[in-house]
Formats: sequence, C-alpha cells, structure tokens
Amino acid sequence: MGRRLVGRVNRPAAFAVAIPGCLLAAASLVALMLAAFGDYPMWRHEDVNLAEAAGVREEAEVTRLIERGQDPNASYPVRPGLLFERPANLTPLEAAVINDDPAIVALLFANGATVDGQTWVALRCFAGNSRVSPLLDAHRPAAIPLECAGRKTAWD
Amino acid sequence: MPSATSTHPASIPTTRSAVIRPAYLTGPQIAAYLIAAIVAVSFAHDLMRKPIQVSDSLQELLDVQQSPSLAATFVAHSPRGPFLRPIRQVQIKMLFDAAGGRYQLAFRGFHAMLVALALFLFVRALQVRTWTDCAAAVFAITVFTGMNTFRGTVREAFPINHFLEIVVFCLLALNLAQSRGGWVTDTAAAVVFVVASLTLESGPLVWVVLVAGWLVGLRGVSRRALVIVTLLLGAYLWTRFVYLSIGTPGIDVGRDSGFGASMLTPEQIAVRFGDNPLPFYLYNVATSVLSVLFSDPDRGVFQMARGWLAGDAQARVYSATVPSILTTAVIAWAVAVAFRRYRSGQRMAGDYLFVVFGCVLGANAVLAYAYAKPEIISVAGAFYALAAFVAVRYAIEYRPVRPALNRVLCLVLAVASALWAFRSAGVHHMLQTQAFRERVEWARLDPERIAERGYPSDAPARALTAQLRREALDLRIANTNEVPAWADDWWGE
Repeated sequence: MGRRLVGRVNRPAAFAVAIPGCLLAAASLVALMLAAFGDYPMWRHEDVNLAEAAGVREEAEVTRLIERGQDPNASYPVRPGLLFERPANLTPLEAAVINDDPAIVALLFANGATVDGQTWVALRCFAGNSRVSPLLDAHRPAAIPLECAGRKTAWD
Repeated sequence: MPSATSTHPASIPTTRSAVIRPAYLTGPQIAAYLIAAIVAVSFAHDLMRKPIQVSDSLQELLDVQQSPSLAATFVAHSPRGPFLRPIRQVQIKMLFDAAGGRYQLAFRGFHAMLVALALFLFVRALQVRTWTDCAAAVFAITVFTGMNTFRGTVREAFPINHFLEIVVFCLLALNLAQSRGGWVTDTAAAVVFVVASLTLESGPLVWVVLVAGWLVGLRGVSRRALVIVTLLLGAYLWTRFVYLSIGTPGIDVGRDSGFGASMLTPEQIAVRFGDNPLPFYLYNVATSVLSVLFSDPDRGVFQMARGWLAGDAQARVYSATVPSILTTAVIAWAVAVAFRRYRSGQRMAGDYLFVVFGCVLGANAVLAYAYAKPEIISVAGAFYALAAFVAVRYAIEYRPVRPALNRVLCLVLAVASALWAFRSAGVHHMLQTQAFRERVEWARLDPERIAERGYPSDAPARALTAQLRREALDLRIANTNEVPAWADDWWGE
C-alpha cells in the first residue's frame, strides 16, 4: 500500500538494528544444540544425592529423592564446590544446617531425619543464632547439655 | 546485509487486498521466519521444562475432571462471576481429555505451540520483502519477545495462557485483513471473533483489529463480513449486559493492582475507591498505555519512581524502560514523518500499522480498566512491536545529511536493539526461575491433604493431583539458587 520512503538504505543503521537479534538467535541455536546433548547452558541440571540437594537448597529435589527411597539419615558424598572446596561426607541434615536452610531442615525432620545427642550438639553449636536454630531446639534429644566451647564439627 | 536495497514496486494495488504475496518465499522472508523459528523453539524448550503451576491451574484441572462433558463445561461457565469465558474452560476440558494422562506434555506443548504460532503470525503480518525489512523484522521480534507484556504470556498458564491466545487471535485477524480475501477468510474472521470473545474479556479486540484494518484500507475481510462480525459483537454485548446481566469486572474483582508507587490489595482498593471507582479505572487505563509505550509503570506501579524514592535503582527496571523510551521515540518520529507525507499525498508501505496499533492500544487499555496486569495488554504489546518494525524501517531508510546526526541515529538504534535482545534473553531466566518455584510448590503439596486448601478431595481428584505432582517433580529443572546474582538483578521480577 503505497511507496517506500526512499530508495537508499542506511547500512550502519540496518546493521545496528539487526545484529543483536541475529546474535540472540545464534546463541539460542547453539543453546538448543547443546540441549540435545543434555547441556543447555541456562538450564544446567546436575544429578545430586540427598545431602547435595539439601546443601544447595533444592527443596523439590529433596522431596523427590526421599519419595524415591533415599535415606534422610544416611551419609552421602558431597562433591567439592557445592558446600566446601574439598569433598565431604555429610548427612542431609548436616548439609541443610551448614547452608542455614530452615525449610529443608523442617522437611527432613518431617520425613524421619533424627539426630543423636552428639550430632545434635555439634549441629546446634555450628548453627549458633542462625535461622535453623529454633528447629534444632525443637528436636533436642532429652537431657543433652549444650557445651560448645572448643567443640569442632566433623566437617571443620 | 547483502543487497540491502528497498526497491518496492512504485505502487501496490489496494482495491481488494493491501498485499500481493509472492507464491514462494524470498531470501529475506526465509531469514525472518528462520530467526522467529529459532526464538520460538528456544522458548518452547523452556516451556516444556516448566511444570504446570499449582495456583490458577490445579483448580481448573480438577474442575474439568469433575465435569461430565464439554457441553456441561460450557454451560457451567456461561457465566461465572463477573466473567463470560465458557470457551476458555471448554478448551481446558478438551486438552485435558486429549492428554491421555500426560498433562505436562499436553498443556505445556500447547503453550509452546501458541508461542510459535504467535511468532509466525507476527512475522507474516510484517510482510517482509527486502533485506531492510528483514533487519527491521529481527528488531521487531526482539521487541515482541522482550516486552513485559510478552513475559506475561509465558510466565504462567491457567493452565492454558488465554492472554496469549487472544494475541494469536488478534494477529490472525490482522493476517486475514491483509490477505487476498474470499469466503474462507470472511468465515474465519467471524469464527475467530466468536471464539476470542467467549474465551476472554479482551477477545472483542479482534473486532477492533478488523475494523482498524478496514479503515486503513485492508480489504482481506470483506465489508459484508465486517458487518456480520459487528452484528456478532452486538449480540455478544446484548447477551452479556442484557440477557445474562453480568456486566463487567469492577474493583470488586479481587485482584491486587498497583497505584502510584505501591501495590494495593483488593481490600485497600475497596477502601480507597469503593465510593467512586472512576479515578482508579482512569488510572489503570492511563498506566496501561504508558506501560506499553515505556515499560513503566508495571502492574500499575511506577517502578522507576519507586526505585528513586526507596534509593534502590533496579537494573531490571532500566533494562526495560530505556529500550522502550528509545523505541517509542523512534515510533513517534516515524509517525510524524508518515503524517507529513500522508498530507502531501504519499502513503508508505506499512504505515497503516501505526493506525492499527493506535486503535488496539486505546481499546486494550480501556479493557484493562479494572486492574493493571501486563498480560491484559499483551495484544497492545504485540502491535507495538509491529509499529516498531515500521518505524525502524523508516529509520533505516533515513540518511541524515549531517554525519553526526547519523551517528546518533545509529547509536540510538544499536542501544535499543541490544537492550531488546538482552531483555528477550532474560525471558529464559524468568522461565527458569518460575519453573524452579513451581516445582517447589508441587513438592509442598500433599495430594492426600488437598481438601485443606479447598480443592475437591475425592479419590479421582487426589489421583490427578498426585499425577501432576509426579510429573512436576520428575522434570529436570536447574537450581536457580546457583544462578549468578546479576541474572536476577537484570532479568528478574
């Protein structure tokens, strides 16, 4: 309907408007090709065990793994870089307390996680006045004194 | 940009149809469709990994599960509360029954298909011919997908995103108006109007698109068909306001909405505007227009002002408003040029999209009077991107005499284009964050105790909830706690 404005094209302007969108499309294409091999850059998903899921605040994954039968009281290897720079062996509860995540601590307790006296003292001393402390206090084993002076945790 | 010349025919017939499309796709067309397809597939990939949400979706799915038939579903929602959306629920029922137990695949697949369809119709409406058009089309695609209004169409589904459906219907109406016409086109126009109007309150925008198209000379939809669609609109209004007496949603609709620099709850809205809601409605209409043109306010809240007042300038606000301001400035300049040329008797290809955009923006803003939400004005957002296409094409074909001015023009276009592409990329982050949250929502839902949340609690309802929950938990979703903070600063919500 009608004619165009002029017969000339301002090439720098044309490049200016087109290049970012083309780059976006190219990046999307690369990402989709990587996705075909399970390595989509913006959706990188790593399989984790129960302690690792608790340590990186993946509440839904914690739920899924418990429902799939992983034991909330067992110790699991935690890969370096997730919680510490070195590898560690932790229970899910320890991992959640280290990350100070009350939602996951509550979830683990609700799904049968238990602590013996020694572990409770170690966790409670580590937690100090953090957000998970009230939850730990609510699950304090009977007649356990809280002595934190000089105490070191297993992962220290 | 090889052979970036704009050698359109000196004149294009306008007697029957505004556009004569070649029977084959040209290089620039293929390039534009290819880029749109890549963008669509990348969003589809994300949507397929996003769980059906609990809020706004579980109740709908349980409703259609309990409904014995499509007819019963239609009747039950004609009307419901202040809404008349029977086809909305019928679509959910149809998809639910067709899903065969694979609800995530069915509903998210449908959502992804709608996004792809919207992008296809969008590019088709641009009528790309030259490489100049293609460059402007690439820009327009990033505007379309980078706007806050588009985010609203992919962020959630209910469990079908009907706002996105209305965008598709309106773009389809524009494509019909641009076509060569015929009885199939006329019939399609009437069917699209009926389906859209009974899907959502913003459905009558299809009529606005058809009428605006007619006014600017698009003759794909015949005068007779336009009269029929207008009669159908009259029938819709009579049914709604006279026969069913359901009126329209008001301030009692029960939705949060922004006002000034803060969000108001439904109770606060009732206290402040219960006696005289007109100022609130006018505010919503005005801010809806502004939010399309400048990406601020968002949901009725002036985010930039709020950031200044709180001493908390947010990158995400500026990354949205700066490209919007620049693009709106280019559109305003192009409209002024087009108007000057129109008065001197020259009409340029695509100018009519400015008029159609203006009509759709006004009508869509009026329909958003009850509460502010980006989804509601998503049709205006899509047509804003169409207007941006024409405006940027003007800019590409404009060569200032002074080199300094040309550098400024290129800089403005480059900044706007780069920021829109950046915004569009941010939609992936937003979808990732939403997916992570929605999976947590499902994890926290106990199918055996859904009655506590007010859902039906019979055995089929519990089984369906358990099935949806299992599908959500089985999705491989990245942990957004591990995403760098800058992503949320720039792309978050």
